[in-house]
Amino acid sequence: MKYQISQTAYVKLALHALKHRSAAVNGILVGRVSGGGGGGGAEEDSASTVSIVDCVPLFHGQLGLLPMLELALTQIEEYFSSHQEGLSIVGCYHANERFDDYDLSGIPRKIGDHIARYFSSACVLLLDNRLLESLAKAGKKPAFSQLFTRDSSRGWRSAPGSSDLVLAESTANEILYDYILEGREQSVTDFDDHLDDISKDWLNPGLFD
Amino acid sequence: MGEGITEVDRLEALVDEGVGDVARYLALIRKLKLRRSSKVAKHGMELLRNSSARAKLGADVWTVYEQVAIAALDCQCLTAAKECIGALLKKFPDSTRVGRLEGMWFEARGSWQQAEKVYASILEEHPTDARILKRKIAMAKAQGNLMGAVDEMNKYLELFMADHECWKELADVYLALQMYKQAAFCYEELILVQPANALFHLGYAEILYTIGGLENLKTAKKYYASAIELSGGKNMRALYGVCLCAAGINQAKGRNVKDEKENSTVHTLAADVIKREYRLKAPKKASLAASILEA
Repeated sequence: MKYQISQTAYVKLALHALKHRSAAVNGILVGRVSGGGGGGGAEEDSASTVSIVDCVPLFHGQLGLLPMLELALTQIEEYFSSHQEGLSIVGCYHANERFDDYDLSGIPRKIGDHIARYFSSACVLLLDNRLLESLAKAGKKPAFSQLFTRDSSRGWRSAPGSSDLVLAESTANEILYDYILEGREQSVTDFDDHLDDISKDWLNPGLFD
Repeated sequence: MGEGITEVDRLEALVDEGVGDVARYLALIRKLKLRRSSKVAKHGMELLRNSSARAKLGADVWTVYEQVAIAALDCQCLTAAKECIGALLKKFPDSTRVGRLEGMWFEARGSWQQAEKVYASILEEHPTDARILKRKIAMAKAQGNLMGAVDEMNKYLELFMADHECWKELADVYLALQMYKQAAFCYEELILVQPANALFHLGYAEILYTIGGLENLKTAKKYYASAIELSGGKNMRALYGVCLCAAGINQAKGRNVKDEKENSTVHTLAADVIKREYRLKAPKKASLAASILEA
């Protein structure tokens, strides 16, 4: 199974992490499967690609609590299935609190497990903060994340090569770099922000204007 | 708090353009305990390097040196921080408060052992210095030693058992470790210390819901309800929480008729408030919220 991430999703999740530099952040990945068999299949079909089309930033700071996570997942699934054809939850992303922490801890694993119950090819993206610094040189590769998928024993393993996660648009890194210079991360709204002030939209409609 | 943030944002915009009152901005940041390190470091250093601006601060200058030093450390501007710490050392050569900053300078570089030495020597003379004990907790956390941080916090709380900031920090670390029962205990202490704080009732409810089970859901619902009351009916997480609990309780087995009646009033009221708020403030999401609540 290959994984591809759109510029929209990639830039949005990076900006979310950058907005909250001293906290852990997470979010949901939304997309579809193309090619080969359907997404619910238990077998890996190497001809298929999971396209991560968009993402919804969820929380910053406190990530381990269930009620608002359940609420968010329900709203996200409901929104995307009724408003955007064929899009559903395909995974989640997570950025650790500490700069040099490359472990996939219990919380993103649990969220990944939950998503995997509905979509067996679910993936978890763990942001690598160190690589964000080399953004300018990253070119066509996603500069800063480790991709985790489920292995046969239902644990999460890191995908071996860098070819397993690709950028759908080669301009993604340049765009992200420009946005960082502008401080665009301040405009990201996550589900936490929405709960604090419901007039803020977790769909982030104006973010890329 | 909301109005305070608006004022800070307004001052920040002026200061960014070079026309604001930097001293007032920094004072408000201190008062609200905000973490806006790159702005504080940038504007603070400019202020402090300007001798007439510095003179206008009067006695506040030392507080500002401390504030800017910490902000500079947060941004990895170690030279700037050193400048501020140097000024403070000259004025207060034997101060443990400045000693803490020296230790933090080493921490920012990742020189943990050097920082340890600084703190150990201060603790020799002042074994219950709260600020230094807190640095030991922070260092454990910064090195990813969460269980070590838990140990240090429990030791600290034996000395300072009413320190609600530490109880909250301990709860957060327990939650990161997914040790929910221990986190719940911390929130029980927090509610004892500040029984009218809606956020503590809310936090407790969220943890109980996360642990799960019928009894916990029922208790969570009570604390969500008290959070709603204490926050003047405005806290969206508490309003949603009551509805989530009602749904969870209905799903669990063995509910009795009495509870069912109690269920209907609180969560229906909450659902109505949520729907009304969405219609007013987030109309595009109103139908989405409504359909989730019906389910």
